[in-house]
Parts: sequence; structure tokens; C-alpha cells
Amino acid sequence: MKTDKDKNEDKKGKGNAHPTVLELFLVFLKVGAFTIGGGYAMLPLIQEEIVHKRRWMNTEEFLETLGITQSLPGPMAINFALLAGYKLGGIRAGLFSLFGAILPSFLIIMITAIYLWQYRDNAITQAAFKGIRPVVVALIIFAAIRLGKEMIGNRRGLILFLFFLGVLLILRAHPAVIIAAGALTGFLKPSLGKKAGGGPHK
Amino acid sequence: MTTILFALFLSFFRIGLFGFGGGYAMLPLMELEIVQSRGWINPFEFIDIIAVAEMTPGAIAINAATFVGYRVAGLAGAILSTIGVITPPLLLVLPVGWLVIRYQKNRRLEQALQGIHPAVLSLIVLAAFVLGGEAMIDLQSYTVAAVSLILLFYTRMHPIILIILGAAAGIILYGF
Repeated sequence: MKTDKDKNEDKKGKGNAHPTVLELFLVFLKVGAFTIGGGYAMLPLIQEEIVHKRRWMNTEEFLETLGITQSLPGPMAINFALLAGYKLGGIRAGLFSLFGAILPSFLIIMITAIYLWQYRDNAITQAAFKGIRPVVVALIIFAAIRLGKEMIGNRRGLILFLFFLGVLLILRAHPAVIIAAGALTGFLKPSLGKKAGGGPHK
Repeated sequence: MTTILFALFLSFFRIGLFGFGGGYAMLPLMELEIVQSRGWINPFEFIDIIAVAEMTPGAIAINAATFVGYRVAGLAGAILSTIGVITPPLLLVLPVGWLVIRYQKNRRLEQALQGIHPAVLSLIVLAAFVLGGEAMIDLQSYTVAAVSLILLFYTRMHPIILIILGAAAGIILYGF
């Protein structure tokens, strides 16, 4: 049934329903092994694999799944593997997708920690890391600026952002408190940007 | 040993639970748990681990959890830290996913979660401040960061290449 690929081409765009647990595991294993740079770097490859190449989901289903995973805590790529696997094949498929996504990371990090980390004390490696550290900071600043454009839709968002940052830096508030406060502001006064079918008001 | 393993699991469970908005937004909480309150890893090693987590495949938070867990308590530590960080998603994603698939979208919940965005952004900026304290030590490091930002903005250079260039710059600036 699931091998009948031509049939699915007819149902334009509708996701092909049932990949096997093994297929899901292997796809997420591949994504986990070949994407460097964290969750946001993994998304294009996930989309390529499960939307374009295998047609397990259409673009709309993909974005909907992504929307749910982005609003839940935890590593995004992990949430996505879990939820996409669950949607496509039930709980067992979800768990195997998750396992596939983290297995390559786990093995590569273990190899690095066991065999390579001992060279960190070497003078040249120390010098190299002194050069790498500012790059890491630059990558975070870049991510903040790029995400900031998407995340801060209006003046209210900007003010909240500055307020939270001030509370974090000056009062040294716990990050969890800031997350809770952020969710609370959303409940109390939902963002006005997306009201009843109206266009984006940018 | 068992207490350390349990503490690792618990720390990473909290990191996973409050880790909204991806790897970078999770860094301040991770730093608080791992470096400040427990002193398991020193600040310099922490930022170097983040650099390695960035350069290796997979989610940054998972990589960092595995790495820190191994450094603190060996293989068992690596396994328990990784399980700790994925347990909150395991507990939350499936029930919420099930609800959403079943009852379609809950607008109010969705809006509340969008309200988190400014908070997430403030945590990412805080991560830059926290790690910057260790990374920005002299004129050379500010120069490397500034050049990196320019390359990111104008050439969209891949992070891996930038990190390799950073390593080369470090060896030239500090190695001899």
C-alpha cells in the first residue's frame, strides 16, 4: 500500500500518509547526521526530505507542525521529529524519529569528548579557541538581529523585549521567570497583529 | 555518583522545560545551571563546548547536554543529561500535538505562545552578554567579533567556515 507512489501523485499536495517506522527513523537519522548549526539549520533539510522528496506532508502540514513545535519548550528539531513522526505513524514512529534525530549528535559528541578534548590544553588549541569564542558571540548576535526582525512585530513587542532584557541584566532575574512573564503578557493582551483574517499590518 | 547523575538529569530537565525558542535562548539557563550554581564546568570550557556544539551536526542543546554530561560524569552522565533535556518535550509535545490535531488550533494558546517571542529574544541577547564576558578579553577579540558580524551580514558566510577562520585568527593572534 505504502509503496504505491504514483497514486499519491494524483492526490495533489496531500501528504502521503504512511511511511514505516524504519523509514522515519532513517530520514531523521540522515537529517541529524548532516545538518550543522542547530535546529534552524536542520529545517530546510527536513522540509526537503519529508515534503518535497517523499511527499509525506504537504507544505501547509509542514508549517503547521513547525508552528506547534516552535511554541513548545525544548530543542526545536527534537520537538519537530517527535511530532512529525507521531502525526505520520503514531507514538512509536514519533519515538523512533526522535531517536534517529539525536543518535548522530550523541555519537559524534562522545567521540569528540573522549578522543579530541584532551588536546584542548595544548597551547595552539588554546590560541585557536581564543579566536573562536568571539565568533560564537558574533553568531549569537547575528541570530538575535535576524530573529528580532521576525519576533518583534510592533512597538509593544519592542518595549517588552527591552523591559525583559533590562530585568535580566540589572535584576538578574531567572530565565524561567522571563519565559513565564512572556507567556503571561500573551494571555493578557494577545497580539493585535493577526486579527480575523486581516492582512499583516506591517 | 548517583546523586551527580540525578542532579545532571534534573538540571537538564529544567533546561529543556524552560527552553523556548531554540538553542541560543536556552544558553543563559544552561550557563546558570551548569557554570554558576553547580560549578561543574568553568566559564571558558562552557563557551568552548558551545563552539563545538555549533560545529557538530544536530541540535545545539542536545550536543551541549551530551558534552557537559560526559565531562561531569562520563558515559552515564552523557546519557542522563541527554535524556533530561528531551524528557520535557516527550511529556509535552505528544499530548499537545494530539490535542491540536484533534481539536484544531487553539487561537488563545497560540497567541499566548507568540507573546513569548520578546522574552525569547531577550534571552538570546542575554546569551551574547553572558558568553561575551568570557570571549571579549582584548582589542583582538573585539576585532574578530566585528569582522565576523560583517562577514555574516554581507556574505552570509556559513557558521562552520567562520568558526574555522576564527580558529586561524586565534592561532595567528595568540599562538606565537
